[in-house]
Amino acid sequence: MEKTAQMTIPEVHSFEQIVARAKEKSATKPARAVLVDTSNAEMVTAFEKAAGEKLIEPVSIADAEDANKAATVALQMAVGGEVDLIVKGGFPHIEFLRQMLDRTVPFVGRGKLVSHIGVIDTKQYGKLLFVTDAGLTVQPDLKQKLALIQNAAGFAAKIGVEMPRVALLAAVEVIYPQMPVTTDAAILAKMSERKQIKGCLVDGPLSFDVAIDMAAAHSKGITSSEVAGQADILVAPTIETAHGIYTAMSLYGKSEVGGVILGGKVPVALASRSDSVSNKYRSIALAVLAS
Amino acid sequence: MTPRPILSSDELIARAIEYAGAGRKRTVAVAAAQDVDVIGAMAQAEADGFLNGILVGDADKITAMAGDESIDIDRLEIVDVKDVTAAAHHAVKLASEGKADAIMKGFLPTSSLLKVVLDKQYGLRGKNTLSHCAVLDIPGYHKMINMTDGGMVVKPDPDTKFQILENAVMVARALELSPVKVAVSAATDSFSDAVPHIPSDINVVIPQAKEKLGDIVIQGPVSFELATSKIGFEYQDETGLVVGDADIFLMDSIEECNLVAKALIQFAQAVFAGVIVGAKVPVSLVSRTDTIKNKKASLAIACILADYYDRNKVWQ
Repeated sequence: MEKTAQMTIPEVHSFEQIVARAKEKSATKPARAVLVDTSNAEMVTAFEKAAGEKLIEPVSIADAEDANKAATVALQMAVGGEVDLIVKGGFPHIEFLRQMLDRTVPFVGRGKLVSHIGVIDTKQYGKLLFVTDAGLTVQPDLKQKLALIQNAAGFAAKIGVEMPRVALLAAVEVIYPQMPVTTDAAILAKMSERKQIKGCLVDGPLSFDVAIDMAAAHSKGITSSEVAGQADILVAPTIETAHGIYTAMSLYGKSEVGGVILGGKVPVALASRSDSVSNKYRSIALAVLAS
Repeated sequence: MTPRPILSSDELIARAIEYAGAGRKRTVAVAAAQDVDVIGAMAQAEADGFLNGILVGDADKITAMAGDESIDIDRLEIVDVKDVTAAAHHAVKLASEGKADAIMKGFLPTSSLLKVVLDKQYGLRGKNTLSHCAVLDIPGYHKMINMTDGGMVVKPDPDTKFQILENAVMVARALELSPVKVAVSAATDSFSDAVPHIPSDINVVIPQAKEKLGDIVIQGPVSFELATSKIGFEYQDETGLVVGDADIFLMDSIEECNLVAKALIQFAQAVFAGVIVGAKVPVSLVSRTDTIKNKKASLAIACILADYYDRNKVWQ
């Protein structure tokens, strides 16, 4: 009987560690944070908690009641270097994105892809799972997938997950020409094998169970992958897939979760609708570490 | 008769047993039954009393496998057909002759079995495409949700999507759900105007469904979150009866459905009953990694669906 490979556990593997690290970071250099839109009571509570615990140093906006204006001001403050991170409250996601992606701001640099990364801590897995992109890139093409991988891998490394293992998710783990999701994954896996993608290990296509369950990977005959069975980062083929996985895990998977938008001048803490105060607070901690 | 909605996997199995007890025990024919997991599931379901089983396949292998695993197959009928394709033809023929009510996949690829199921000589084709329904019982959600299609149609066009929905609604009828609440996925619920291709699908599927499928409430675009949870709902503009209460989640792509369903199975301990719908008999398949409860639930839903077809003369 072949010995089942052990999963590699990175140094940072829980939200307790993320929050502790974020607090340490803010103790040396306070993370200046601005809240856009105070209409979501849970996000306000999370923001105040973060301020009270010195996770962030709150920066207030004049005219904060006008959420639309507050978003504009917050983005300008970020561009001007006056804040280290933005926390999005109840302000409609789509409106915020519209302002954020407006080239005249300029919050996003030319050629940069902004993406959302959800972080999932389900004690059932033993380490953190990062899922992307649940917030911005609707149906990433090959080039965008490469950028998604780089954003997520850079972030994972920054919070202490060295050489993250990136799974390109699909419905199957074989390559079918009629399924572009699988062919894209195969190309990216080959690019990784040829060391064209730095700082992470990429494999795909992988189905969900094969990505996170070593026994499932082995039962499908995938035994030499450095990613299968022990993925850190899950790259989903569409936005609704990533969002579905993220919310399935938070609503039903007994997981702690948080989310952050990366790729702009400063990180944006972005929680999902059903996220609890604690999970919204975790999103803020992620943004502190990303800043 | 007042509908008695089936809302959990336990109720699903119990209902299949009840129908069998009322003289409507269904017969499931296994195509290429030399698969130990399938033999085990069939023996269990037979012992529970909700089906009669015909194992079509390599009799020597079937007997040996059952012996090795101490599975009691005495009450299952064995038809010795060694070649897997010939076994598939035999099982499908049993169904076409009315000697079996449902077909179960054994030791052959799904595509090979379905090719035989769709073979014109057996007359088992329906008017719709074949689609996979994953009926999930998620602990924490107050009813089951049918997520479709995560197994068959790679990139459905709007018409195919409607057929997938119609298949799923048929399963909902068999589960006696009324009205059937359908959420149609597309991007995230707050983000739909940035997704030009998806609303166009929705604009075809939803009006068509409202016109042609009675007794349903349908809404979209809706995210998985919104389909199953009302938490934080007041912050969004979405309104409607489906929010937090969906019976069917019609998903945008095979990937979305497959991946989200598997996340729920892996990390939320969801029990799932899977069945392929669209032919005149349900086609059941289980995989090695399924728990015994998953396997029984999949067989139970196939029996309940077959019962529904028969009682309502759906294909006549």
